[in-house]
Amino acid sequence: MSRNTRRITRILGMTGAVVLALGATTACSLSSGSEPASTTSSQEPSGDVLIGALFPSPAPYRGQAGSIGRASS
Amino acid sequence: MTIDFQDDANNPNEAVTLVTRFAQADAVAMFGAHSSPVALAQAEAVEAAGLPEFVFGASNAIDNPYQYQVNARDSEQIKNVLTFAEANDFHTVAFLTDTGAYGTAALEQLNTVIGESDLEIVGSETFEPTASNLTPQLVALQRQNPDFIAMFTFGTPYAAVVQGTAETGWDVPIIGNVAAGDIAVGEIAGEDADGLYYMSPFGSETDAAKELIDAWEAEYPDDELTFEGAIAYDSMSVLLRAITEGGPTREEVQAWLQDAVEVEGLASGTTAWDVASRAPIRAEDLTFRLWQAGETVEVDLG
Repeated sequence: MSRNTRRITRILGMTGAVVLALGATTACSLSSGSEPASTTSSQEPSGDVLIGALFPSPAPYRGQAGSIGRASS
Repeated sequence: MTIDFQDDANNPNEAVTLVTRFAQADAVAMFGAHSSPVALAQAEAVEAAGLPEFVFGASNAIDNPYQYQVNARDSEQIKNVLTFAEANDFHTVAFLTDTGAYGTAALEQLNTVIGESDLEIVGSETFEPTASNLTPQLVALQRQNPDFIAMFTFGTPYAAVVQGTAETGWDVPIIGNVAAGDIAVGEIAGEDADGLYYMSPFGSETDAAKELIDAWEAEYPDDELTFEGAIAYDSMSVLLRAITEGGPTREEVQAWLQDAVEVEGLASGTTAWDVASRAPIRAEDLTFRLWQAGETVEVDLG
């Protein structure tokens, strides 16, 4: 995961879970190709395929996934 | 591939402006509309741009061919209110909803869905979306003696309602929507939240869910997985399939999404996603959870 994504997560707290999830999926799912995916929070994005992502700050709510391990809280 | 993350502050006007930004930058799709008012404000802009959008807002008022609701719609969550009542042999219910756009639309759905059932509606109170004291509403509802309360809102009012029941000593079951699992509820209300039920589209039973939980914990030991995170992960997985199998343009992505009636292998929900329906998370995909001692546990209503 890129440093930018980690930085965003620290800033946003739990809302960052959405940011991480979006970034993690692209990183994992496209890494089977010739080039690994990248994520960025730059103001001027670049890349062959661009995806827009909004997050609300502060989050209107922070839902618990719950289940096992750390995901239980 | 690049993701352009932008903060819309949950502000409808700002969110519409950002749709324009993404559209002009040739984005193939977008994630956003964390809340229903934002999604409704963006509808015209995303349709004009032909830009598919994954939205988290749950309102049934969201109905645009380019907006895919990846959270359970209110009507689906309300079906589970009926399931909750039946499992507990409850016959009467009272509503608590906020006066904002979300709560107003949810109340309409509550009256429609539950009004057509055998469950008797004995009371209904509203509150400001930022309310921190719901004792007056609880006192009014207690006079009607409902078997349980169905509450649809988001944010800190869920903490306020459990603090109110603790203060008044009224031992009444409350079931909330997915937002009642807000971590802030436990942080603010602590053990007062005990007895508050809610629904979640992310359980721990499916293999895909277990894999995501394990992978998340290994990759992000300091960041807890939320149901929103799980849904975001699944939504991006769907989009990536759309891009790789359909094509890397907005038109191709939209066409793929409109034909995707059964997407398997996702972590959220218990059934394949009917993405083409634009509301793939159904009542049967939701699990019930309960606050206990500031934490939440999955419950089987039997």
